[in-house]
Amino acid sequence: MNETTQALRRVFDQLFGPSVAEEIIAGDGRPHPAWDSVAQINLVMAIEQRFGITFSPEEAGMTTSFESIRDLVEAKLASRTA
Amino acid sequence: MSPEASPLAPADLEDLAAAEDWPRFFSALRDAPRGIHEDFATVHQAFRLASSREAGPVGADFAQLRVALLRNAALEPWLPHVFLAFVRRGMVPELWLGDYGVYEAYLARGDSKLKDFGPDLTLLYIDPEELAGDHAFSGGSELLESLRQRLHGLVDLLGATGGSAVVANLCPGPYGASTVYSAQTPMSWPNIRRALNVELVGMLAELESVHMLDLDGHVARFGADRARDVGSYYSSHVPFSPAFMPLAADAFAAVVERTLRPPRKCVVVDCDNTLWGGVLGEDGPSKLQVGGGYPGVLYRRFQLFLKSLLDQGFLLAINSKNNEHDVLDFMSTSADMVLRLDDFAARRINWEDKVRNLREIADELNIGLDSMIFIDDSAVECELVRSIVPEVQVEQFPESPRDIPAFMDGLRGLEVLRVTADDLKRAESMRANSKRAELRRSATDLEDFIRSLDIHLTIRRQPRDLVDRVSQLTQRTNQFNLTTRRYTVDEIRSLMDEEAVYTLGMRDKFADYGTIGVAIVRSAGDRAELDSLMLSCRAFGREVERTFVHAVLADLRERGVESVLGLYRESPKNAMVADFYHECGFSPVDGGEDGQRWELTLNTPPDIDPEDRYSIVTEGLA
Repeated sequence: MNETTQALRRVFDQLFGPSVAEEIIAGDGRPHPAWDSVAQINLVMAIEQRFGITFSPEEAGMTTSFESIRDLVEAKLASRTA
Repeated sequence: MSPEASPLAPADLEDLAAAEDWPRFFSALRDAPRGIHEDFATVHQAFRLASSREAGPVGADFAQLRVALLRNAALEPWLPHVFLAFVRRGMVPELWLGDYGVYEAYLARGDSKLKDFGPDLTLLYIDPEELAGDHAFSGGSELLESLRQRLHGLVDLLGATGGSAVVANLCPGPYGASTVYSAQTPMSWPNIRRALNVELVGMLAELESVHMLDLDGHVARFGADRARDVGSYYSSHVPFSPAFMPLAADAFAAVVERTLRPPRKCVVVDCDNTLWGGVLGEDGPSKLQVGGGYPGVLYRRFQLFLKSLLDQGFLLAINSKNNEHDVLDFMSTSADMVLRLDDFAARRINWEDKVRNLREIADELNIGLDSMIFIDDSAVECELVRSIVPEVQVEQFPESPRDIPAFMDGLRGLEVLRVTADDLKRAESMRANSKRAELRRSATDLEDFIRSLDIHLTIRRQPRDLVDRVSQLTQRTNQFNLTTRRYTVDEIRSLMDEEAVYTLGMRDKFADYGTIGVAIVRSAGDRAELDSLMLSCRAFGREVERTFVHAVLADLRERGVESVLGLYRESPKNAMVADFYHECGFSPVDGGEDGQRWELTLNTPPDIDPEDRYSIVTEGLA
């Protein structure tokens, strides 16, 4: 697990609690009941602050799985250092 | 934050919550370094964990309260920050969020959802852009009138609920930079918003238990562009940016804290590099910086700030290592000094240690150390006071004068909601203390001393114009307080409707002290119980307390009461009145789980003033 994935996992742990975060990450891609619209807003704000990045509303709407968020964060971090 | 606070790791929070050790959980959050409170994920984690608490104590030093938030914006992401800001100030809130855009239906009588929750306090957050809708660009007098009516209606409904409430004033939206045209047009949207905020001040002035949250002011200081995130505002109606959320939450918590607890009473200041720049004993009076240009102008500003506290009923005192004569001479002759000797209720200018001085000032003013704020530029002095008398709020004065404005802005413990006439009399009466002490030394005995004071007492029953002051005394009086029961303004009003509330006012040859005593009596048939009995520390040493109680007892007897029960509930501060009922002729009786009960049978009318020492006026007594 790279550094970004670990840091992202910590945010999921903090917001959802470790056991729910585990379920979300190990899930089959279907929406988890704990990941509702309010959780979505909170998640985006927490990630933006933790990584010092900004999601557009369009991007924020597309972040529906741990993997998709991780890819987006990594892309943003990479473009920042490029 | 306590200086020894250690960083709090997210895992610690999980462990404390898993162990259901809620007192340590809340204490850890309260004492954690500030960085944690600004970290969005950690704040939300703390809130999630606290929300899992089903029952169990939160710790004796936390107040618990239920807070409802009515809103027309998505406040959900802000709630955890509100929760934490409350915990930081020693309150554990249960938060309830109203449905989006619903105000009137909740506040109007008969609605059950809000009623079922039973809030101790309700916040009204109104997002003005949302309220104005499509008219937000056009403005116009019709828009002003319709919003004014809506706001009036909401505030009236809030007032009618009778409970405590906070209304956030209207802050600017995420767009709307002022153009010359809009700034000069009275009915432009920016000017309508400002006009409504001014009107709100007037509306709230009429209501004792509804207070203002100056969100507009906080947004202005923080920066309107930074206080909102345009993306989350328009995609999800979140009104605040994550960076602004902690600040907005703390501003809200500060107002709420003041509805529960009184502010500090006395600000004790150092002189050198605090009241003025420079060291009097070394630099000499001509080199001190106060007034004129920078940096003296900022020390003068600080003095003006302290002077303004006198107008809010606070006391000032000096605690300085200096030659007293030098300081007194400079303060009375310098044309640039704002504060004069008369502004200080007590002073210790000597070479003693500052803790000892603080204790002496507290004794002299008859206030607790926990009522004091100590301001000194020396880190050593601050640490000394902090470590030996932690109940004193210690604030280190900034080394650089340019940090003085931020220092004044950030001073906690000084927020007041309203200032009563009695608040203003306090400083006057405290300053009269030194003259009185002098007289006391010259009087041969206590009897002579009391007579020489020419004391006038006013004893009133159900004084409806004093509900604010009566509530304030129940909230603030700690030492001479038999039961330490705290009552809000609304509760006092109900008590005046249903039971009996007596007040004692006093003046002597030195000062008018205003209302300094309260007795609350609950009656059933020919039996009565003294629910509360208290006397302000300002009135100590004149033996007026027994006269007050006897006047109340005489009135009760006239009204058909045959026996009176008194209760002494021990608190950390009221040991001085443990035997008070005994001294008043009451006999101890068994029973009473929460304290010692005393009883007195009113066979004969009590002698109110046997030594004929006071001039007494009564109002409303039988």
